[in-house]
Amino acid sequence: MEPGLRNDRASPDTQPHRHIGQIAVAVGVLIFGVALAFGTAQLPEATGYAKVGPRLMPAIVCGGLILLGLVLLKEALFGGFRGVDETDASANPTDWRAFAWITAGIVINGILMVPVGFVISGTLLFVLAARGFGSTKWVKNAIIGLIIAIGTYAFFTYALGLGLPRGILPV
Amino acid sequence: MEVLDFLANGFSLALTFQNLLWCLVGVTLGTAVGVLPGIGPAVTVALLLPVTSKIDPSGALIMFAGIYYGAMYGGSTTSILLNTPGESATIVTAMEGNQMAKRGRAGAALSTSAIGSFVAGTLTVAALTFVSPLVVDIALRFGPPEFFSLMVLAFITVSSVLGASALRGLTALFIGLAIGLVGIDIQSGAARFAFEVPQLLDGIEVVTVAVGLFAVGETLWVASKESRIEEAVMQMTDSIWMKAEDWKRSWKPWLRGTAIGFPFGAIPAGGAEIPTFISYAMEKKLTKYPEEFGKGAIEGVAGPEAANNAASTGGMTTLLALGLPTSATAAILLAAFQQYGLQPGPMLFVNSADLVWTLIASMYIGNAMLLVLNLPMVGVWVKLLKIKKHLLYAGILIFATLGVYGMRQSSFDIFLLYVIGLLGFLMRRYDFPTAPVLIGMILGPLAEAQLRRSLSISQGDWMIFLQKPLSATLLAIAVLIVIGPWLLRKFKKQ
Repeated sequence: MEPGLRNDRASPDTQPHRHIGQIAVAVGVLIFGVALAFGTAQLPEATGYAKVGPRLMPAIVCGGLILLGLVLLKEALFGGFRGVDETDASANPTDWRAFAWITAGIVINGILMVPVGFVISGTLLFVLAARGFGSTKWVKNAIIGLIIAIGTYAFFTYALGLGLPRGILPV
Repeated sequence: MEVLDFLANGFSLALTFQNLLWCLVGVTLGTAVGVLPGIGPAVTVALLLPVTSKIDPSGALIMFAGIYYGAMYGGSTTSILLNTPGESATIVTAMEGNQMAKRGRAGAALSTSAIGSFVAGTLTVAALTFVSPLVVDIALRFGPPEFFSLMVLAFITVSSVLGASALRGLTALFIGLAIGLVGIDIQSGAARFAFEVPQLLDGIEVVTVAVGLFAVGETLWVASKESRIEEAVMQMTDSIWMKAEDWKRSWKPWLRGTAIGFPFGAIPAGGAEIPTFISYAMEKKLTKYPEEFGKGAIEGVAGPEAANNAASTGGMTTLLALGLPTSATAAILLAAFQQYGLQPGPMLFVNSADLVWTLIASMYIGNAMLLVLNLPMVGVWVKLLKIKKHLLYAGILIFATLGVYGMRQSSFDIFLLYVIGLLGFLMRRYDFPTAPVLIGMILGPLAEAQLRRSLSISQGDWMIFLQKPLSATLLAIAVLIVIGPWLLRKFKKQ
């Protein structure tokens, strides 16, 4: 795709449209690579005459990430990521409220699983996630969630032999 | 023939009650998760990895392989009746098959895809039977430099060929490689990128990454972007049995799809999607009824459906004979082998011949089971499609969090799961392919071991990769794939 072609259609002025999210993603990759580079520098030196140790692969990986982050940044600043249609993306905005319900479900499950047990925390996750998808039938969802949580708990405990937190429930 | 002896032995081991049961469980689960949107074979196999501590390797691997190729059968049902691909490799089927369903031909569409999948599955397992020993013979002569170069080539094709942009594919790959580095380095004992966190010293679990990227990332995406879209499930009004005319129009596309799918699945070029597109384009060219394409041509379902099944067997061939995963699910299958201390690749055929041939024999059996599951019993799967979105995804999250927690009994992993889910969401938003993350994470440590072994042999001299002719050729191909398109563009401009 020729740079700027698609964006010209979206905004009548010829100023290339810069998408802040894309720049953030590119910078994120770059920061990740740099952070890995710091971690790599702290790894022990290679010993022996072959000069290969635990540092070699991390060095390659962080070098690659920094390079890729720079090229991504260049694309984000000049013409945008190739093949990513931002006009299309902004036509379908993200429902952050739904996003937050799902997030709350998973995070609360992580916090409560050990102290109160999976069956309760899993049911709570189910209700919150269902709310994220727009369902407000709290009682019905809680009952379905409870059944699924008990079934899953039994399956993972007895069929797969995983130790799961029982919490405050007697079984 | 030696191969037939091995295969006969494999059948005798696969036909035990227990192994038949595992096969049935695998293909049934595979069909189910293929049908259900939001959960696929990669997540399912990942969540079931803990069974490896309970059952013997042949039983577990038969089941996992069944999930892998069974999902291809199930995916077509969703594509035809719902117009949303159940699996990414059934996008084309969603176009043509759904049109057939709209014109009251859902039964014929389901039928041609199930029988086509069976034809492709069986023929390609036969191809696997005879091709893999040949590949193994060659690969047994590989040393560390050849294996390393082969893995580099696999990395490059997996991230460059698939998806809209090689740049984003490579970024995904390197993120995966970085994740694979976390933990204690086996060769030197040095802790890498663990920040004194005990859970990170053990490394990041494959399950957490697979489930985070595919299940949590997908749930966040659907909830915040697509939850208002409600699709109607199509009714199947015609008979599930094809008419003579349908058979006549289907059998050639089945065979052509098979021939395209197998080699494409076997090379690490992004799994089963590309061959379905090629098959569709080819059928559109060769058909006598071009006016029906786009409005429900049976050839446009038969060819691609055979192609995606053939590709999944092709992927198994490469995984077993060379130890290279060509798709996300194959990468998790590789992790399943590792749970038993087994390493797929040529040595597996030498050291664990019984296991390999039992697995291959089970694939013949599994394809026959799938034909029954997906034709006369298709009605059962149609019911799965009627599950409401909020219940389906909330249920998936219960499975996901519990399975991830259970791996190590650690709440830390649930928070990590969410963070990786966020990564999956962002990758989907900015169109980064996710499979390279998983392949990089699982294949990365193996590539590192081969790299260090090679350099130990050469006493630190990097030229070893260019001095071996095969290794040099593989690397040259890899370089060409990356800079080839760029060079071509430069030439065109001048």
